[in-house]
Amino acid sequence: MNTMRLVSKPLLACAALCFGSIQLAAGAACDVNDDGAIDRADVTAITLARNSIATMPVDDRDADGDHQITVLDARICATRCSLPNCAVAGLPPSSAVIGVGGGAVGLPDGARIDIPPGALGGATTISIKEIPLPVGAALPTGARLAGKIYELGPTGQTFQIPVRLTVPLVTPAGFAAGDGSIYRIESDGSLHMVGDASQDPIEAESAGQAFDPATGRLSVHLSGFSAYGAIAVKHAANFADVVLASANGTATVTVRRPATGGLRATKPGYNAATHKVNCATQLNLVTRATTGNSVQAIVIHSTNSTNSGRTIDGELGWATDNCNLFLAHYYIDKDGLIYQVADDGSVTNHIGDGSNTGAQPSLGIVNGNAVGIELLNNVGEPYDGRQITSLVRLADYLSEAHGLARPVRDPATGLYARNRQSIANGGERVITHNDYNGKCDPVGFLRSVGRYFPLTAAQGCATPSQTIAGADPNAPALLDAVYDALGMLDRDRQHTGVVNTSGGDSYGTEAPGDGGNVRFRVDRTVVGNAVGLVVPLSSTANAPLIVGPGTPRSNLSGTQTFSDVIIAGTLEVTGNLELRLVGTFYLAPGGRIVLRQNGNGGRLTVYSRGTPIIQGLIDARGEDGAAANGVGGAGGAVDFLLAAPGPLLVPTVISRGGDSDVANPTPPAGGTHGGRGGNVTIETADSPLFVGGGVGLRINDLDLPPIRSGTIPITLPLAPRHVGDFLPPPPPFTLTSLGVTRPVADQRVPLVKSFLQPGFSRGLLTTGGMGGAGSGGAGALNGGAGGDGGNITFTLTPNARVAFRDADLITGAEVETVVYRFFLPESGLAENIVFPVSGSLGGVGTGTGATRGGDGGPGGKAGNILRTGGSIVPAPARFADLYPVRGFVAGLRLHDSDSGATGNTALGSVKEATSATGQKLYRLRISTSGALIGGLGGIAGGKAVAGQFPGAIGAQGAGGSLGGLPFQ
Amino acid sequence: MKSPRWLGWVLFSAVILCGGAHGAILEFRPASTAVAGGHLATIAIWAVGDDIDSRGLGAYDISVTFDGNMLRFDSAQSESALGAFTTGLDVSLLASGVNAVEVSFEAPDDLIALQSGELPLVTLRLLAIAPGTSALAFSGAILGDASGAALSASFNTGSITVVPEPGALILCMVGLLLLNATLRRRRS
Repeated sequence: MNTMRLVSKPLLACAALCFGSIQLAAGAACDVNDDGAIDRADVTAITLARNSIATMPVDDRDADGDHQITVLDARICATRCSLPNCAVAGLPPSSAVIGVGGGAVGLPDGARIDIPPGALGGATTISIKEIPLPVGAALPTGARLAGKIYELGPTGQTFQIPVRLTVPLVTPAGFAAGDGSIYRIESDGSLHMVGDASQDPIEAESAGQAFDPATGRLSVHLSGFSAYGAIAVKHAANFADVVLASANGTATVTVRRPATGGLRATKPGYNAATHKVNCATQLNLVTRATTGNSVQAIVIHSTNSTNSGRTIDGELGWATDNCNLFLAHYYIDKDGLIYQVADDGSVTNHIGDGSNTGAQPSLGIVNGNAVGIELLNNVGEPYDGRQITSLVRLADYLSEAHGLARPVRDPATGLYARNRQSIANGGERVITHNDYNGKCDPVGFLRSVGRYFPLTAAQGCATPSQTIAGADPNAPALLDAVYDALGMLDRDRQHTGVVNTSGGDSYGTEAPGDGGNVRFRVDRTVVGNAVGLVVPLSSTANAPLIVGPGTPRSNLSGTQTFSDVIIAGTLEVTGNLELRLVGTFYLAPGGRIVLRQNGNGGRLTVYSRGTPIIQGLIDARGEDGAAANGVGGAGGAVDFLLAAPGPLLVPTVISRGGDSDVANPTPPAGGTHGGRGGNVTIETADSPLFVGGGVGLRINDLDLPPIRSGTIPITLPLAPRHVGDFLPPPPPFTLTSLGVTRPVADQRVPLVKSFLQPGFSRGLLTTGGMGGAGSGGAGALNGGAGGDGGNITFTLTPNARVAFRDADLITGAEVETVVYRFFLPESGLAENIVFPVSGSLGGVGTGTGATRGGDGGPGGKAGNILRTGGSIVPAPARFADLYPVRGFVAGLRLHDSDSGATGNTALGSVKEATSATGQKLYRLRISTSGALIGGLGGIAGGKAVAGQFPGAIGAQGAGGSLGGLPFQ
Repeated sequence: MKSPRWLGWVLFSAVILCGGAHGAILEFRPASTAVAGGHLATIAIWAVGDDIDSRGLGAYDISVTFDGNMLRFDSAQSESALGAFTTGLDVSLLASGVNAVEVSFEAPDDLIALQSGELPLVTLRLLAIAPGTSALAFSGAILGDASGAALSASFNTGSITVVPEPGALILCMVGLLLLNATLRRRRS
């Protein structure tokens, strides 16, 4: 047989050349699973796919390019394997002499060491073997072995280039793969998580702990040898929520801190796996006080793990290793929970001391003066919106607590500078690790518009040009959105936003629009059904909606699910919008949501687990004369359904009915009724409510368009006077308007109507609109009725507390100020009489056939204001004072003596409630009977000439009821 | 017995030297056998040929048919002809037979050095379930050399005869008698 081989081999080698048909297809890579290596997994995959047609044009499995997948392809690929014998791992010998050229040793279970060329200076016997857990290295509570312990030899061997250790991970029951990490077991039994010795030595993130779910193996770079093993840790039971508040109490954030263990004061190290372990070289964190530094910047990182299942436990394990000072101060989990592992006053290693940047100018930001925030983000994942929202809140708190300047857009470009020069000049105080030294940190979408920053093998960023299919190219960079939110957040939370659901005015004889209803309601069941109270019901619930300043966003309507909504710019909605939020709703002072459809206001419904913060404008007005025939648009509606809100700053609500065509100097026909005001309903659980605001936003600050167009400004010559119960028939008079004097017989002109209610700045207003004026002529028509006011209702649970501060609660008919000038018979002098009316003017009787003018329209009915349940408390100076951080002043309640409600009240007068310190709490238009007054009837039409009589004065509208307020 | 074997090699070598028949021959060993009902027949698949010796065998994908009324697949075992590192033998059942596939991970040179021109690939164990003679045949095969190039293959057939239990006993007794006669002849 041997003879045969000797004889036949050369010949058959020739035959092989003659008949062999190895024609490898260009691009036939064999790397079927695209893991960068050709190994037995690829060959096996080809084998399993054998005897099928290759996909066109190129199929990695079709190694010989014959368009069929056969065992021949499998064998060809086997000859191309990256490692000898197509090894994936574990097949090298357990001990081998390895030299400068590098090599590998391994065990059958897949544990192995890969030594790159140049790591060793000369031939060295490298070994790996399994050993029992060393004596003294008993795992603490909460930790479990997640594999075997391996001793790498020779012990103490160091390398010029880091080597890679790979071990199989056996995930213990109850743990996730991402909980597991490779730890070094020292001879004294102490355990230390291994970082990544190959890269930036200042790593606040455990990026080097890589996990391959396909093989179930963990790997990490090492610079030296010892004993290593995989350990899984859990932390959950050891943390407790703590509310952090800035010194003035205006910014708060909830963080989780270890409830036990040696965290914070001096030691960074805590977690269930390491806190009991003594470290031979345990180091304490340096405090900023000892270095004379203060916090001057916030640096954002992402954890950048290539382990797709990496959990916060793994990161905290790295951050809190007793012997490892590489950590950030805060870690934000994907669900938005914030973990604090070091005091702000401690110096941690998360960027460096400035020596490793090499870039100029120097930023002046180093470990010594920077607080680090890590976002848990495994490479390739999108950021979770709850993380972004938590990042905003945390950065907001830190900015406030440490007096850091807020980011500002360049007014010329509308952009954030965020370059080295602007940062060095003290511009942006919130930066990324990338800003510091160019490291690809954070990865992903955080730093660019619709562009994903991938991580390269060298941990640097690839060119940020890779756009993501489906990404909104107009979406702001997440960091810009964070900047926007930080810049727009109102420090004192004193700004009162505005919800406007008013109906539009009508033109001609058409009907104006009614105001829409506004509601804030706590209903856990409804919210739970919509978004889930524990687990988000929607897969899209991890996406935030962030609308920054600039071009309005207008592609949103219908039902949308987000983690949180942060709007600092303008969101234009056509139609209705239902937001289902896992987190909360934040409308910054400059933010607007405008809802319109065909001239009507749209409906905004918000289901939110959190407490909405409404400091901007929600504009769901109906438009004036929306339709071609002059019909006023109906106001939309705003409905907030909340799971368990904290203290709620109730925005100013304006839900007035539209006016009938009262401004028309020549009414075309009989006036129609004014629009009805919407209802404002607040049903809350045991939470404080704050209505109004001390120095908060005023309506005019919003630059609202005029609510009514076409008014005629006339300077009143006299101070307004109230009208008594009896009004004499108007004598002949003239009216001076804008310098023009007109005879009264020709026209009576409604004068300037105050912007909404005179003096109304904030609070809740649900007035009905003005009725239209009657038209003149021989058969003069009556004026239209004033619209009814809406109801304002607080339905509170017993422990809920309401504070009003400088707030108006106004319902009833809208009041227009009308001036007559007439002769007083007694004196023969002309005098201006000022009438506040609701129903509009009757028409003027003119012409020979006229017998009388039209009647004034009746006033609208006042709505009801009612509080049931809860209690009214003194208004704090700031909304922030309502927060539990500072709490209420114990024992103080609003007494009648505080109300200032004394003496007789004239019809139509305003009654204010003030606190003992003189603060205005709220005011109402109120009648002597204690009921809200209805609108006054309109002034009669007609003229006092022989044979003709003026019309009747319109009847006063019915009063509303008042309940639950102190001085009723 | 010697002459046919010697003649076989001469003929085989002649074929090779003439260059007329490259590739490998797949055959069953033993080519024919008898098994009593209820017992296992053990049949090995061999690859024979100098192409295998010179170019090596890096992969095989072989389908074997038999009469499913008489035989039922029981198990199969790789004979490790492709080296220590392979995908492992993967056997799947066909309508009336089995398919066996294995790919070597060994380097081509190592494989050629390891192999000879006569390789046992797979041993099949078939359970005899009904009397009769079932043909054994290769319904298809793809053989790859050490580099993954195709090796042409020709097939030899075989058979398994399933005999009833009494028949098997008789055969056994006949065999014993023949053996006894032979021994007596040698002693004499």
